[in-house]
Amino acid sequence: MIRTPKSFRHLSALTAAATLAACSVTAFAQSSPDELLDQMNHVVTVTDYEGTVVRWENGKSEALKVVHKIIDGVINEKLITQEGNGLEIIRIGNDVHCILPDKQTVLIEEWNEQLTLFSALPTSEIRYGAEYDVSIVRKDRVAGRTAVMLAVRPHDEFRYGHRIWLDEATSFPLKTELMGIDGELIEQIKFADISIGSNISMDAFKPSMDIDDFSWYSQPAQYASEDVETNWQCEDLPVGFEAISTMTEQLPGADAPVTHIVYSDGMATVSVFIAEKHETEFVEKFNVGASNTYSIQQGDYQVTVVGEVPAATVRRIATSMTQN
Amino acid sequence: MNDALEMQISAFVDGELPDNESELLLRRLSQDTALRQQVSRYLEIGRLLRRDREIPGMDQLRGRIAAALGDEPAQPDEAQRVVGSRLMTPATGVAVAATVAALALVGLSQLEGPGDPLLERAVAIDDGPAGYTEPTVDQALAEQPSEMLMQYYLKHGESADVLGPNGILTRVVTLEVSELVEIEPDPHLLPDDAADQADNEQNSATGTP
Repeated sequence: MIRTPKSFRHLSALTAAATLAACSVTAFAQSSPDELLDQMNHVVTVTDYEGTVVRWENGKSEALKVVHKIIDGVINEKLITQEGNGLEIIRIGNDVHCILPDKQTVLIEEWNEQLTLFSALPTSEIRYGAEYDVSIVRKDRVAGRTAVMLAVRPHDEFRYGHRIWLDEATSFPLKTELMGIDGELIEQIKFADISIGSNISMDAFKPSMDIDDFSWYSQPAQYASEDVETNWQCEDLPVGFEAISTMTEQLPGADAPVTHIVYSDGMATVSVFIAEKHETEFVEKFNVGASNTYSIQQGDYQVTVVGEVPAATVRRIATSMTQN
Repeated sequence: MNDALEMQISAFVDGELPDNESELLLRRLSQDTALRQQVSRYLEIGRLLRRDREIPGMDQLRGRIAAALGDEPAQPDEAQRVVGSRLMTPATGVAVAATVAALALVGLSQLEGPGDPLLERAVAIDDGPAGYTEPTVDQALAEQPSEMLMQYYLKHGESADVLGPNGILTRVVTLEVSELVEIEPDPHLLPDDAADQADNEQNSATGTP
């Protein structure tokens, strides 16, 4: 799910409209890049919209119909994949229905966080240090609207860059790109068409098919993660990354819990999993879109690093994890 | 060259330098041979990394830019080299600027549209003449991560939710690998008549139909 936690506060449609008007063309001329990021992050929490999102990753693209409306601070959202199995996700507050037409199945989930479509959006607050520069680049056209392009450029080769196209009239993000260290495109999410601040009926959030005969499922209770202290540390952590949490996790099929350390530079996130070593020693590398993984044995343990960072970053972290 | 200038050049080559800064940099390029050589190196590196090919219509574009600047159209080979012997004199500074701008446009145009790695991969495994070859099922399956790696990937996705990116692919994968428990249908969780009523009340309050 393309999602991110944001603190949604209740604002009426009227307030949202006022916000949109306030973020006018002149705002772009006067605002700093950081201020634009703040405007963007505010606008996505108060704006109703519907449209078609096209997501490109790893040479594949998929289109999604998206409807998003906030009523009394409650997020109502519906996503329908336009290809493949026609997966339909309807969210009313924290209750999420995943409808799989091909399997005649409804899966019920509860999302604890206020997750929405926008996940990869940087903010001016979470950049810990000077690992990224933000600049206003040029005007462009996205989804039939005039947009202003922002570039978030990393200072080194250990993290990806971002490009964000903001609607000139509203500061709403119309297109985002994740850029590799060589300037190659890794992931792109953009609206092919969008209606911002439109009057959306609750009918739009009903299933688009008859689900009376569908089977309903929910996920079993999950093993609760526990915060723990660890004597593992990374000896060669790229500048700007900090350990933000350490937990134990019980994964399906695993004999024993694994230690899970999360590092972040404020935008990119890297997970380190430390498990008892496997019977046979192996080194495994894998790449899914923006995510890279690197797994290697360190002493009696298998250390696996996963993150939305370049392959060199996960390798560097995996090979420099040590135990005190 | 200081780091700030190096970053500025890098941003310019990537097409990510703001217009006003680009203008200043181009002006500086026209007066600084060493700087032009640095830009040339960046462009060449970028070209090699992206396996640049000649872009259709590039000759005409160079011609238009050169004409607009009152200079002769540059020849394709010369333009690709960016810094040749004739560019070492200040008198040709404008031509340098035009050529650099043209190549920056090439870089941008190649970044704008996603490529087709699948096609490249398929061609790569075909020893015959260049053309599209469908990967076999075995080849496709060989690209799947191990089950444990998939679990790590999903768990990372959950923690990354708090801070950063997570894709819809993660959601789809979750649906496929989760152990599910069948429950009684509860359609009341979905928008119903009560929600419609609330919808109507809201519309009445805001005066919308």
